[in-house]
Amino acid sequence: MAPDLATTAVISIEEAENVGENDYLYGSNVDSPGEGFTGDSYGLTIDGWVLSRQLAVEHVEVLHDERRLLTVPLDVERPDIASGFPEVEGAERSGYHATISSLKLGREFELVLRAKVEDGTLLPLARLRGRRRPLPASTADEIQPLMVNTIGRSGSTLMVTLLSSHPDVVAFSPFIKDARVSTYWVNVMQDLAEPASYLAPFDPPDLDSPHWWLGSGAGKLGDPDIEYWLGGEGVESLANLCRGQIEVFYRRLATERSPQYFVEKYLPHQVVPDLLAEIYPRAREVILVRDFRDILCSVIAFNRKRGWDAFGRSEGGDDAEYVRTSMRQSAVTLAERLRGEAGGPRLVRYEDLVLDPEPTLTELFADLGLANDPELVSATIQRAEEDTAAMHHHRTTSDPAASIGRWREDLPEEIAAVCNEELGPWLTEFGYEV
Amino acid sequence: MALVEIADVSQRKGGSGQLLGGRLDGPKEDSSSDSYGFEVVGWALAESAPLAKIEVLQEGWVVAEGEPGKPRGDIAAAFPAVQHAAECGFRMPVSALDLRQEFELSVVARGGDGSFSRVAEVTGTRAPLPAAGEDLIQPLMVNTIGRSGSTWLVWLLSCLSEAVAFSPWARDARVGTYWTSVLQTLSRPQSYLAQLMPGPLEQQNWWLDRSDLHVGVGGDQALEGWLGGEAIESLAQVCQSRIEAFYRRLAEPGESPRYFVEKYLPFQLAPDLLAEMYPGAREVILVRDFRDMLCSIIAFNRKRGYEAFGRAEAGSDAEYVETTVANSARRLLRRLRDRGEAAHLVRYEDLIQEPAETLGATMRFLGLDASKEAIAATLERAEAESLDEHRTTAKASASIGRWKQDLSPELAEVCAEVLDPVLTEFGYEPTLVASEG
Repeated sequence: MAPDLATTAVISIEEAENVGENDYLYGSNVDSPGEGFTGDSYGLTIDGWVLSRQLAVEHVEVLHDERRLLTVPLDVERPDIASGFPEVEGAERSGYHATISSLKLGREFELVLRAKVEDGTLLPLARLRGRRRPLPASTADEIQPLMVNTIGRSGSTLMVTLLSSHPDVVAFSPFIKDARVSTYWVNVMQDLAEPASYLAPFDPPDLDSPHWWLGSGAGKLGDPDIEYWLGGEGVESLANLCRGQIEVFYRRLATERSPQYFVEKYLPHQVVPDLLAEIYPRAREVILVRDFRDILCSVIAFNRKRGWDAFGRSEGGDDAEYVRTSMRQSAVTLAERLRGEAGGPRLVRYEDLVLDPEPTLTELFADLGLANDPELVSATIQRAEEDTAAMHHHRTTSDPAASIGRWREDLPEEIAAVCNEELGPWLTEFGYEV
Repeated sequence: MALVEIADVSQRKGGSGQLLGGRLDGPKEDSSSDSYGFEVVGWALAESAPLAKIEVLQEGWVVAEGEPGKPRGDIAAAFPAVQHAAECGFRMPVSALDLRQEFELSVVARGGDGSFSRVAEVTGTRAPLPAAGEDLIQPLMVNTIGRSGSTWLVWLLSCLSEAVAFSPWARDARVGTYWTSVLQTLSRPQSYLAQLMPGPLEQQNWWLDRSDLHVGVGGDQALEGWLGGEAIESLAQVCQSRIEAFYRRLAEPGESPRYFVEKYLPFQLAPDLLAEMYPGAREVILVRDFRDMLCSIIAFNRKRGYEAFGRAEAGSDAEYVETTVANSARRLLRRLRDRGEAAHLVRYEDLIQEPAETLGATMRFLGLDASKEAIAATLERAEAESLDEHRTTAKASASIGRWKQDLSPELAEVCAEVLDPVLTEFGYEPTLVASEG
């Protein structure tokens, strides 16, 4: 049984797999952290080495959830490796040193290390699986996050507007601005929780460089006690900073009211909802889905209307590639989040929201512990409709209900086939026909 | 309540540098702002090519910058022969927490070749950050230049029973500077408006210093005003609380120090902001004969094998004296005058040659017990620590006046010309007299 991290270390590494020697590598190793490692700081330091057989290594990459977290050069002297490989050029500086904040990782995380060599080839080096202790939850009486986790063009603005039209929910002009106040402060916290930042005040190399405080700290402080405090308790206090700033913003916005929730949008790849769920004891998450094929039609139409590629569509490849990578990854993540802990996220389908708003909202409000009598639900919908009257710039069809199932007409047959192949299991899981 | 007041805007008159024309449309003279910032708006036009950059300078340091390129149909009509006149407008936010309380700014236009021309001068005042936290550990700020004996002074002050510092001999801790830098950055509209107008969220640092953000993008004037006013003051308190947490953690159990000691550099704004936020903040201005300091820097850099203390940015030792050293010396002098009784001058030479008297005067300035016993106990504690590693001469006292032997006549002449006025103000002998003597 895994140890209870709530009462033990901040980080533990439960599995460490090293690729070691193969046809491409003389060898490589993650020296630290190894299997069984436990640390009392939210900062994680990775030290290792790699020696390529043919082409020089450009850098080492650290990935989390298939996203690159950082790249580090081979700039650490390794006389031990040089003596083991005296004939190999570059062996004397084959070491790397990476520091990351575990607040950029999920509570159960997997890190993949790979080396990029001169011709662009990516060589797997190691995989680390571990766990992080959750941030302490606040006991203060604060406005709680109501997190709408979704993919763009899923009707999230409509969802946020409907939710914010409830008297116990607050949001900043959801139909005009896409405010991300909590994401902003959590990102500030994540970056200040990087060892490179919280160690920056000690021997800073260049105080007149603009953001010296974000990333100039390196190496050991020479006072383990203070270093652990900075990386442990100090980081936990940053969570108070972040929560406090979110609170003053929404209190200011709510004026005389005392809302139960503030509502904002989040993206499936973000760690932000996890961190907010840790620091707010009554945070709630709504997973909003829409038929992914209709989303694709909407993304294509929206981008055509705007004249540039948004929603991750600009990262190259054709529509089929977009479905295989970006959309598939998002669908997988949303489904995994939904399957998580009991009493966790609540699923809302866009189609139900548009076609049957009253029962959908009544159930949702009830689940969120919000007042949900018929008059209130009706008034909420009425308020939202007034707010959304001027939303034509946001739409790609004249009527939201008419956009349901548009993929049958709009999507080329071969792309529809790719959707069914790549997204089929998740479409079924979310209740859509394949 | 006005947080920024613009007293005077002085526009360029006639030709200036390579500009065909230029004007500051905002801020206006006698205007004010209810947030900790204002916008610099105007146009500037060079004949040959579009300008590369517009900079707002304070004491020679860039406090805001932006690229011209905003549409200006009126200027295009006035200069029909200049094609790029149609896009010669500029608009950029200036954060008041990047400014002194009484500020003098120069708005300059920079050409692609590095040349620059003055557009306007702006003077004004900003409100201080609200003071809070009388019960907190107060900053004891040693404002100085490198190689002035600051590590020794910080160490000595940290030996006061009422003070705390983080390992002065091992580390140069700048916790106060760190949190004021965080505060300054997050107080810029280019940062706090990112909450309302997020950039691509997968992009690193999307929340920080975004050039596409300017006042008004949030579409809610009242809320933006609050973000630029009250919210900044609340953030200042958060930063104070982080500094406090660090030094409380560092203090010995059961101790309740009155001061935390750190070094600051003359160009920094951190001491101003900390002095505003902490009602009991104290500032010590430490100087050392700038000629000895120069010798020490040259020796230190030679010993280490690289050019530190800003020496790398100058082409020669003479240029280094004329620019970095002279500017820092003048800044320290100005600081001493501006801060009045809130600052205390310590000369390194006095600290070494008359330690008890100098420490006693400093302790009195800090409002501490300056009895003979307290001074002796502090000095005894401080001297127990070895200083060998930090020295470039065998004994600190031997380094006093080293410039008379170490400095070349040519460099001494440069020092005489640019440093003598400041040296004499700080009570040092002029170079010429000293050399002859």
